[in-house]
Amino acid sequence: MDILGDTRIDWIKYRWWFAGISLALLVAGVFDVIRKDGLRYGIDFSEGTMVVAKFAETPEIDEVRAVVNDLGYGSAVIQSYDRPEMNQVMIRVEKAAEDETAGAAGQQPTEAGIDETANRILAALRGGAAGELVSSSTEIVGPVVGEELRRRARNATLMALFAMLIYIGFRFEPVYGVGATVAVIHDVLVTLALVSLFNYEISLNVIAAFMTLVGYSVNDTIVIFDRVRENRHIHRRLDLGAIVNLSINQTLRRTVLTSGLTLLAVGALLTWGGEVLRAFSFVLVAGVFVGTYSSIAIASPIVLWWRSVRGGTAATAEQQRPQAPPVRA
Amino acid sequence: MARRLRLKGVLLLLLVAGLVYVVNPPRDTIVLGLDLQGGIHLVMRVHTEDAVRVLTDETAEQFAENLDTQEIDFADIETEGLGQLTILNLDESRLREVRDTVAFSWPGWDLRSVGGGDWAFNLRPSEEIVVREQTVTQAMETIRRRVDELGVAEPVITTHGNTGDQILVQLPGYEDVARAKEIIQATAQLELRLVQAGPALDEAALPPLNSSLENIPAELPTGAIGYYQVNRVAAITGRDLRNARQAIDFQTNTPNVEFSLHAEGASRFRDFTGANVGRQMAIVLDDLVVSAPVIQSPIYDQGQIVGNFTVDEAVDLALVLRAGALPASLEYQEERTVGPSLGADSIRSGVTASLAGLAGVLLFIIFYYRLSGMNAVVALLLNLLILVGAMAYFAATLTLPGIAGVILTIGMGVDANVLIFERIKEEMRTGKPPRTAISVGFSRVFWTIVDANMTSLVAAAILFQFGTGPVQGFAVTLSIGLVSNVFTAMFVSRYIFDLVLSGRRQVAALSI
Repeated sequence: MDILGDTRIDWIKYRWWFAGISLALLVAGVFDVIRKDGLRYGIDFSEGTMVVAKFAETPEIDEVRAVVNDLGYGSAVIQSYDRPEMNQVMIRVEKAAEDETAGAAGQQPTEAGIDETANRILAALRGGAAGELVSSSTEIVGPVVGEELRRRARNATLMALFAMLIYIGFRFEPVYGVGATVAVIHDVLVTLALVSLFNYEISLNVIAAFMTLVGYSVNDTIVIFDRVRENRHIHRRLDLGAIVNLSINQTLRRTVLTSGLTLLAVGALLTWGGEVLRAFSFVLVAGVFVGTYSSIAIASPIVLWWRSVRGGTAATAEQQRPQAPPVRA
Repeated sequence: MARRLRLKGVLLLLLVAGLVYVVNPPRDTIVLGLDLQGGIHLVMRVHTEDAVRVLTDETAEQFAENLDTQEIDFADIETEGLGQLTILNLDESRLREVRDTVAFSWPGWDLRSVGGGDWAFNLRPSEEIVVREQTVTQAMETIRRRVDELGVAEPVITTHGNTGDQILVQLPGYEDVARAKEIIQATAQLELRLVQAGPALDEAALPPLNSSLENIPAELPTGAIGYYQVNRVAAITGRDLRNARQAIDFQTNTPNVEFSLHAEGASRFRDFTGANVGRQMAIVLDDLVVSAPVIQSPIYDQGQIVGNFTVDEAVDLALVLRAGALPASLEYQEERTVGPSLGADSIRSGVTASLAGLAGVLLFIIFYYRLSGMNAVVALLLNLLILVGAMAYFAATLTLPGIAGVILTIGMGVDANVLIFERIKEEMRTGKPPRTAISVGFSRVFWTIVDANMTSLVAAAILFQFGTGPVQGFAVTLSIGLVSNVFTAMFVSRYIFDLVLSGRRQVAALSI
């Protein structure tokens, strides 16, 4: 059984369309991030306190809010957490609000232990004004930790990218390493834009999802590059553009199948995985889409473009045309 | 040919049997991370400067004593800062002897003239780093002993971050955050010192201090805060303890802590108490006098700490005394607790969803690739089994990011099989007979699969090297998964093809 016949799509012809689509998404993302005053970081990365309280019965958010307001945390974010029948409420207090409240209570911010806020909130909730408390989890992050985590996650990812660039450059040719790396960076940025547009928070788990995305995207790109490498030996007279098109078309069935199946797995996680996994699985779903798209739409054209700029023999007249401005999408 | 197939088959069966043995029963062999099973995660900073300060004070005291015994004149020794002392008006005619003393007893310190007969006596920076590192190591050992006393199964106690003074403690399945924090943070510095004067409600009411005396605050039986004047040098410290346990004082019927001393401490204690019968001995805990009993008669190796304790407090005090004192104070920087039922909920949804996704993928593969699909399903399941087995074997912890690694592994495992099958189909379309198509298909995609997996493996290695906890968890599952991926796709899947086709002489069609 086959899902697709033999396709002969001229992918390279559409490369400016692809660039336009990516650019539009990126621009939308940048505007959204600016509008929202930066990306939203989860409690892992920003100072403050988060309490998730599980009640015996579905709690009224307003009652919880009243309890928390009475403690002086008027700016706390309070929302129901996960499916309603889980009876869970999340309460999040930023560091600045904690200090203010502590200051109002006549304490120096440094005087109170870091667990002050969480203890006060839980003690108040145990009072039972919002229903019987069954279980709770808290996360408290001090000033140094958040910054440190962010820096280390970023550095590790950048170094991993660099190592991949070296490996691919070594196994194929340097230009392929560049193509794959640019595609991966594109994927990370576009997915970040989507994360912002869909209002998800960046937590440590989301960072892990981003790394998964990087791995998936590179895998996808390598499959196409590998076919290009093979086809260049078989069809020595074809120009590189035609070879790239041929390779993408030859691997298209595999691309659709693999992406579809991976999407099935992560889609299940997004649908049934629960609140803890929500942002994480969103990034995976978006990542599979974007990672697959970029192998065809970004990585391959970059290899081609680089060759034509460097005056490689494979460059055709079509590719040497002056660069057209990106098409507005 | 048939013989080699049999051999491979036996090896594979052995592998599967070994894996099942390692993994069984999964509940005991797979370590779940805190995010999945609930528990407490604490990050704390050790105030290593405390240890440097203590060392500086001790050095000042001991160096002065040393000069006195050698009868070398000096006016005074002043503390300028951490690891910085100034010896005022040193008799420079005997500088050679002083230098010898320094070289012999204080090799980590530098002596240099600052003019006017004064000499700076400083801890070398390299030596200070060593002291700080030792402090963190000691603190970790102490915390480990305390956590062991708490009875937490499989706690994690490691250094954290790259400032060198942070410690990470994870207590899976433990719920009482307040108690855990209290016990870990208690300095538990026990000292028995001779009382010279007091108690007085005001320091001014005590006699003037000299260099061998110190005023220490005390919680008086009336509840008020007062002061005792005590000897600076302690007769007995927590280091002399052999054991400590909570007990009940029969006379007052209040909880107290009984302790016993090592042989060496006991003989010192006997001499000390024998020489001071009728005088008061202050029991100082973390620079606070908890009680000051009168020494009735010489005491040998047993004693008790009487204070205003509840039973729980006495139990915990005995625990921290047994586990030993912290070399420096701690400050909490990060705290996460996951209630066990919250952890259970998230693991249930996560596992259900993962299994549903996996089932969907496997069903589709069988539907699409027919009999060959079964082949891929076997390879994928074996891949998962290897992954789980390796995690059990290395006692790796499964966290949510780890599950992400598993998903990526499944994705890439599916990809490897799809690549192979599509390639075989392609070769068959060009008219090759099935056997040749399989052989060519496998060899053509071999390097694709190796390259794709190696690239991710390189990245995973870097992530493991430079990432923090969750990132590392991801890297571990991913690395194992990638290696087993290449193995199952290239070796196992191929083996099944060979096995199925081996019995037939002419293969006209392939169910793919």
